[in-house]
Amino acid sequence: MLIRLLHNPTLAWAVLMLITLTSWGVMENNTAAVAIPLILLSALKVAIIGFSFMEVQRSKPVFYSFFIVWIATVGAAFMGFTVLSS
Amino acid sequence: MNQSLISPDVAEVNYGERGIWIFVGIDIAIFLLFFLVFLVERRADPALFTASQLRLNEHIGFANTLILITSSWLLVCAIERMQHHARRARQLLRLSMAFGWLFVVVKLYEYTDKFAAGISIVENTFFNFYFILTFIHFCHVIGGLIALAMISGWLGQGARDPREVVSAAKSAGIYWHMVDFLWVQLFLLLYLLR
Repeated sequence: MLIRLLHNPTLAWAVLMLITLTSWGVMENNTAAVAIPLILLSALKVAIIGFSFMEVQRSKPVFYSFFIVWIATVGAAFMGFTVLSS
Repeated sequence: MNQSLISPDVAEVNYGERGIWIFVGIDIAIFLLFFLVFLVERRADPALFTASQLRLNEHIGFANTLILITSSWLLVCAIERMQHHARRARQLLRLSMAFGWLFVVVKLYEYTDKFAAGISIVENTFFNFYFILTFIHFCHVIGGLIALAMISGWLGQGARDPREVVSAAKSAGIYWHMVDFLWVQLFLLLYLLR
């Protein structure tokens, strides 16, 4: 599934639309409880855009590694501050 | 009319220029710093930030997310077709740009709506961040649309070296997808996280 997603931009687009619409539905009852799922879904969206659309895996390893570290750092920062604030 | 622009083997050489990856790396590192500063400020006054967030319309943000994702996908489809179907590629590129402009229109509507409600950049700390961060992103969108318009023009003229056009399109694509995923995280931070 993951490999198909990487090589099929249309499938990736459909998954991104589905995740966004799901998040939209979740937001109808926005509480602190949905914060972590929303952060994870956004990180997943960034990863799909990066790997399927941007094809970051075909760039130099240094850029590829930096992109992964960036996603992890943003996700960890959002989660950390959300947990601390709750 | 199917027009071969470039042989597939040439298209596989060096995905994107090194320069664009360096630019993207620096740009997303700067945005990471913006995110961290926002989070630190939010922690200092969570009540103000939550109250201010409730004055934003998240439906507009969701619509703009769908719009940018669709624009990105159309650009991928356009670049794929540049190698074999130049005319179709140009149509898809124009469609991708149309979605980009739609993002601009929706964003301008949102700004106008905020100004009409008496909310400006000096309203409070949250709105400082809201206007500054979304405007920086807005400028990125405009820059990307200018780049895509140039590539569309080159495709139409057929005067440039096809390899140069495809290489430029791939670099513009890398930039455009960065603009897309930065919006995903910006939208989460400004509109959704409470």
